[in-house]
Amino acid sequence: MAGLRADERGWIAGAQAGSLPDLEALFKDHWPRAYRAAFLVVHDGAAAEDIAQEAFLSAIRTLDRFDRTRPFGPWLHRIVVNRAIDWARARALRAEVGEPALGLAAADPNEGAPYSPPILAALAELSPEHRAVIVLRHLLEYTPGEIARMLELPRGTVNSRLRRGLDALADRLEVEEDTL
Amino acid sequence: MTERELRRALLGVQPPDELWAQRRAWELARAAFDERVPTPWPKRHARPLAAAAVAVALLAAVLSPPGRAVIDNVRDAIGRERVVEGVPKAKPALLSLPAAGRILVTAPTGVWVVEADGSKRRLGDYDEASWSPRGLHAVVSTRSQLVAIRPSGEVRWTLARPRVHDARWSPSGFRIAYLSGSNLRVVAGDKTGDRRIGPAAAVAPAWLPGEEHVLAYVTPQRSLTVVRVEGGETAWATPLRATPAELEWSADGTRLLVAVPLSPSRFALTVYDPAGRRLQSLPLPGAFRAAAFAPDDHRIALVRSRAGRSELLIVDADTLRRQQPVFEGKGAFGDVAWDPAGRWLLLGWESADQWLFIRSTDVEKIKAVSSLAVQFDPGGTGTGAFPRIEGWCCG
Repeated sequence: MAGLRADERGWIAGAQAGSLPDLEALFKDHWPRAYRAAFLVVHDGAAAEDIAQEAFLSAIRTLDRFDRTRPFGPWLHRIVVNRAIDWARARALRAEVGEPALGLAAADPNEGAPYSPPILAALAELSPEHRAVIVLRHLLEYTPGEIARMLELPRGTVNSRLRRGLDALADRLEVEEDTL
Repeated sequence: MTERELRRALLGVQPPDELWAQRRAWELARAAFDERVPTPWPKRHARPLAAAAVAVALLAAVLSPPGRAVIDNVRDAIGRERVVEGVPKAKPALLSLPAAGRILVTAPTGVWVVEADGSKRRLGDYDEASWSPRGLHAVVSTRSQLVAIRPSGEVRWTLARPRVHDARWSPSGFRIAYLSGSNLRVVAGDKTGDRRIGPAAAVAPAWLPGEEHVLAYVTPQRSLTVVRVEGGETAWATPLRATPAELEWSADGTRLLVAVPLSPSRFALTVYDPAGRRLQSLPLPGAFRAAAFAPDDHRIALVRSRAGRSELLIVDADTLRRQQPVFEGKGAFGDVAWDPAGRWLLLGWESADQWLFIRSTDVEKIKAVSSLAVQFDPGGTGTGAFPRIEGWCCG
């Protein structure tokens, strides 16, 4: 995941020079994963959209300072996932009046949108921190070492969260643990 | 389930409204990119060097005895004393309001309600506040929560949303518009039906007075837009020269004031009618601070600052050129609010740490209250931002 493609390097350089088409190419390449990653951590479409939006706006504001020899994805995903964890933690602490719990939200999501209920419902039972490492590892395909750097955690903590998260997912999905 | 199957399952989750979410985000990204000024390479390196040089100079100044004295004076001025002398013989405490109603205030210690007898109640640790139309509730917010609350402090409901700000209750009482990050959203007064209206610039939206839910707001592309919230259709939209500082409808709903900063020393007032026709526009010298329509006519209380002084003046929205100076002083003024009957003006004078209650625009009487910051920080020193006047409601 950490590699830098030539086309991405060109888009970054072009955007830094003021090219809107290059920025658009960079945006289109990265938006779907950023939005999906945020959604899988927060389980709230509006919040996920806002988190991914803000991450891109933050990227654009600091585009001049971005080192074009480094890949854009890890930098963007670090912002997205950390903000998503913060948002999900805050929501869990607040225990809103009249708000459905996260599990219910997963089972009965926003109107009319197609979902994959079993995996969402299973993820909803994990803590935001566990959801985040699973999303980073198995959706965005970062190594545990890369995840540790992105979340500023010891690598052992990442590995244990991955293991526990996967175990819990397996239990919830009623599959055999050793196949995960 | 194998790792590949797990990845496939994660990829199979379809976030809601994915295509439109991407389009909305791209609109915002493009607007942010348009506004960005690319920094030439040498400047990128010059800026940290300049910052380092300034930091070294400041450090040297602070370490020298005269430098320490200056810093202490500044700290005293900001934290414990007035920066400028205000109105003499000001009352040391707010004993009562000169007119009916109650005032909603945001201080560093949270949101407060000031009753007509001068008593104050802290509603909680919120960042912003706005009255409901009859003052029976207020909508308050933290960075991550929208809250409907009674003036008694009783929380009616809460709604978690990211980066909530600039909430405004509709005149009907049935809707609340607010900004969540870069999006305008509307929720019913009973918390149901929360939905996105569209991407928006960081300017408080303004409801058209009346029972219809018509809302003025500004898009990230600096388009002043008026929408009918229930149907979702745009009534009208017009481009602006810059992002405005304030939108406000007159109480009868026939004038929409838009205050647009043009530079640090110049701003423009523009008045539209409900159909989007531009009725008046006037550039003015100074920096725009605040504006408030009178509750019974088209007078606008306008606060501006220039050359180290601030001024409160009354501007007639029907001509804009008819202006009446009301009060001028050194330093910075803050917010301004009319009492519900339109006879008194409340002006925050940040630099003097005073509130001024000014009777009529002919300035028949001024009642000044001092040490405002400490009054909203009981037991503390009143450091931090000067208390903001969020509204004077409903006698």
